[in-house]
Amino acid sequence: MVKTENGFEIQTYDIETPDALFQRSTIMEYPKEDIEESYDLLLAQHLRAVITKIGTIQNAGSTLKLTYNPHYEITRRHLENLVSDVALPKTWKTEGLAEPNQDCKQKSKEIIYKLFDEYRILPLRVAASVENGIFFCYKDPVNSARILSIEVYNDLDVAAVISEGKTIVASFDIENDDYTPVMHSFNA
Amino acid sequence: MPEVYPEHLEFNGRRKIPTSEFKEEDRLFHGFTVNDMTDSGGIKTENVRFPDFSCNWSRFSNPEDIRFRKNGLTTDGCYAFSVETSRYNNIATPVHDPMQENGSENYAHVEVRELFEGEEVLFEPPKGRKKDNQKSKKRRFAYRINLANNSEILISPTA
Repeated sequence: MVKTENGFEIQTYDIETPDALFQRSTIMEYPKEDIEESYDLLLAQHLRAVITKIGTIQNAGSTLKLTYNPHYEITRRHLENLVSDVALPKTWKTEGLAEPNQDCKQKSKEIIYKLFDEYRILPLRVAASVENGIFFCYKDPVNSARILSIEVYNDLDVAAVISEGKTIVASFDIENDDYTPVMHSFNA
Repeated sequence: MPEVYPEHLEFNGRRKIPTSEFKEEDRLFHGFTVNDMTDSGGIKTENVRFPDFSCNWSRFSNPEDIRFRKNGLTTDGCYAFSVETSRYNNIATPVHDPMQENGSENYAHVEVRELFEGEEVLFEPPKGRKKDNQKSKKRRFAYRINLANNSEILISPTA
């Protein structure tokens, strides 16, 4: 906790945010209420994450300093490219299978970002699926036999399956973009 | 690929066998390429084309016979899974489907076809059925993962 010249207490937190938040300067100091009022000026998705984190911080000072983390942006760009580059294998095209459409790619990105932002997991593989969509999977960092597989279809339905070794542990229809039950099961 | 088509794949007057005659321990052979393999040497779930998954029945063929299928190559590999695996959770069942293609007969040909909820594994589903609702996609996804995880690579592909 640091006292500023005008007497405000500043609590510094490393909150990972995209650089779009910091176009005017690399580091900005936001009084908490300003952050909430600046909703339209900032990227909504990340602001929600920031506000969520603020809500969990106990005894916070009157000002929060948000520090840009360049690794976050690099990782996000990498994830974006992984999905954008997904293409149907040539041999599949002649069999009448459909290329993942743009909506499917966008939804896949959103899920991958969400799981990265909230659970710090990165996909092991991202690829086109024979079911007309995009497949991606994650390996449990502690138990490498445990795999979370997700498919996003061109009609934007989403299915998730957790397997361990040769066994299917659980499968989920994803409703309302709620991955909490999936992640609870994956991390169990 | 040997130039001579295996005689044991020809019909030779044999008739289609009902699904009830499959034994749980019988195996089904499927041809694949290196593009169907993960970096760690497993089978890619996203490449498993289920339903109507085309295979050869171990009772009437050898693993290398899959190279004689349409568009088969001498570089193709073969993986196998049991009939028990093909009937995972009553989601599918193998159907004997002797076929004639490009002037060649394949008596060993089998299609693993999707069962709808409530159907027993001894029922023979027709070809080309596929439900597209979310629940069906989830069932098929779990099925494909289970099949990939419970297959054994018998011949590794070279291309």
